[in-house]
Amino acid sequence: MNEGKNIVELLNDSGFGVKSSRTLARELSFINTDELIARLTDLRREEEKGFDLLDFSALLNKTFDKIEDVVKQDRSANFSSPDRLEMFEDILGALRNNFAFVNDFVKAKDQKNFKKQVMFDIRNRMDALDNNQEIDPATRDAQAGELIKASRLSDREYYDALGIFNKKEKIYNDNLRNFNLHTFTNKLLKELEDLRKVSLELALSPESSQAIQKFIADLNQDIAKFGLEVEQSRRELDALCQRYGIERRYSRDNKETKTTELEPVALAPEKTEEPQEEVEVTKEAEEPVVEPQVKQTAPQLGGIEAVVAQLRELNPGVAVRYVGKSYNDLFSGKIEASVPYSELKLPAGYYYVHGGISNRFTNSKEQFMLEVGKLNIRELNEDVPTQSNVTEMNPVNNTEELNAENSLENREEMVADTLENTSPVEELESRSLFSRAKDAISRLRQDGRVPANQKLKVNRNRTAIISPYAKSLLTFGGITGVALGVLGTPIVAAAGVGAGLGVAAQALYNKLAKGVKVNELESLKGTKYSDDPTQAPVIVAAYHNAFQELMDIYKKRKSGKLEKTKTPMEVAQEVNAIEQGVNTSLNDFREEMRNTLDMDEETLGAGRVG
Amino acid sequence: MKVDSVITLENGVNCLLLEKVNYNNDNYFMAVVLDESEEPSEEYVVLKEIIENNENYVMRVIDENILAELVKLFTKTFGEMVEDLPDFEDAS
Repeated sequence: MNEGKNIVELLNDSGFGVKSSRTLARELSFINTDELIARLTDLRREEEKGFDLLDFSALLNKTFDKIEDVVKQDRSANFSSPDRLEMFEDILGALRNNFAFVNDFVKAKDQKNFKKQVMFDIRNRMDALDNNQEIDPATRDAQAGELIKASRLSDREYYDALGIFNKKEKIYNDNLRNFNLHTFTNKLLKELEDLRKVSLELALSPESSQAIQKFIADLNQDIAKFGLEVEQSRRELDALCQRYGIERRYSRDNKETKTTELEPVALAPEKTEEPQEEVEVTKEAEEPVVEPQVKQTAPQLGGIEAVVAQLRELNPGVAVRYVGKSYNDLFSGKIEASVPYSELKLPAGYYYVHGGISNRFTNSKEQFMLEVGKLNIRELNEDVPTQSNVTEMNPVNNTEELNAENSLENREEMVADTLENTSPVEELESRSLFSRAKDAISRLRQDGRVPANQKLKVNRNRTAIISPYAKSLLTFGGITGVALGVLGTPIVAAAGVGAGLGVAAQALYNKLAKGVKVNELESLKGTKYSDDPTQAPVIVAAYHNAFQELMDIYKKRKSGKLEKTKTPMEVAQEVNAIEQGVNTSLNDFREEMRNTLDMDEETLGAGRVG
Repeated sequence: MKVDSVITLENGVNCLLLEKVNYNNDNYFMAVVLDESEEPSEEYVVLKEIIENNENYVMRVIDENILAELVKLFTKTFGEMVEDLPDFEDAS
């Protein structure tokens, strides 16, 4: 391209500059510069919006108030343990305290604005008095005296309020400057969970208890969603800057630094200009993300490419590549990774779905549902990498993992085998068997055996005979499958599905394992993501794995392969038997010893000299 | 239609109905598709019950918003189902 100068100018106009001319020159061969500039501009706009803590705080505080009201208005609550009630209040206070700096700032701003309005009202009245030609001099003087007095007072109060506001604003900005989204939201979520637990220990009516749990679930959703869009924009912008060798030239500190630091000033009633004031408050950018050495992978800018770049950045040591279109209509594209998709660390806003990842439940402008296939070392060796495919492969040492066969791969290879004789020759030449198999599976998955959104007549309906345990297991498998595959949203998973499924799955395990010797299921013990609702689908994924383990226990138990544990009665009987055995042995031993001693005495007596 | 029954659809597919919930005045079923041997496969579907002219129809649901709500309801019902499970020995 020969528009190097133009692209630099365009970048400058958009607040960016060139960091690596070689990188940019190389990448320009593959991109549409207009698209690049447009995307960069969009992302910059999103980044500059920042975290809207003011609205977020207002929203959460409103719900905190509702929760408190529910408890206060429920007479049953008086029968709660005083300790629990106190703890409930403390946690609620702690939750509110997270927003103390926001609330103080908002109150100070409201107060300042109110005082300003009063000040202006008095000035307007003074103007009206001055313009009133019909009033007699004595009355004018009397009213003027009162207004001057009021004006001096309102000026003082306004400047006092302004001083407080400036101080609170500085504190607010300082907090924003050090703001870390994940730390902040994780703390909120932990306290919210504490609140949930203690609320369950209060003596509340069922309606109140249900209402509180609903409020807490709503709060969970709000917190999980907060800031995801901004953070995603930042990360994508970081990745694009790295990839195209450009850098931000605009200040990421932006508007928040406009704090006036105005001290209360001496009264100056005659002063006509407005007091120096405020301040458009924004936020501080987070630390820039360390960039990966992202190379060009496809000629299209941004979008899935940017996601791939972020995945590489977040998963050092893992090979990730963009494949292209997915044959499954559910997905907007396909990528491959050298580890199972559920082990990928995901960019902000992304979550796991069945067979891939998605950010569809965020507010992101670019919403994807990406199929993630397994990138296999064998395939890498078989296929000649094209320029648009594998470009950056980090060594993956865990060959055992890569070679581990799972059921999907088996099915893929089986399908591939069946396709081998029917596929066109040129396809055989251009694509590996493995890739074709995966495509075939994707096509099979497209609708399943029951087509979607199509009214099908039920021709026959018959009663099935199914054991309650088998039915429970199948239901569990169905819920986790649907939750993981289609639902996927961290919000719903965290709020409504994950916890409920966990409790029920544990209960199912307890009943299945009762009376037999089985190991505990790790997958039911929660995950390391328990405190992070954005990763909640991982929890659902764990339960999905638990389904298979529970099914194994069921099958083994059904076939009598599991050793039974002893009931307390059986244990007691055994102990008795052992004790009786010991007693019998002791008695026999004593008897034997006694006989021996008698014999010795007799022997000795016989030899005794009389 | 009721749970614990196998329905045969007009395309010949058999589905075992596992769980039923009502959402917005419609009945929905969690079902597992049966294979040719009438064994449960790995394919689960959520079916909406449609009754027209005294005939039963179903429609597979894929709308994520509806599924999100249904999964919550299914989870709740599943919890109750597990609670009511008898001891394993008694159930066999």
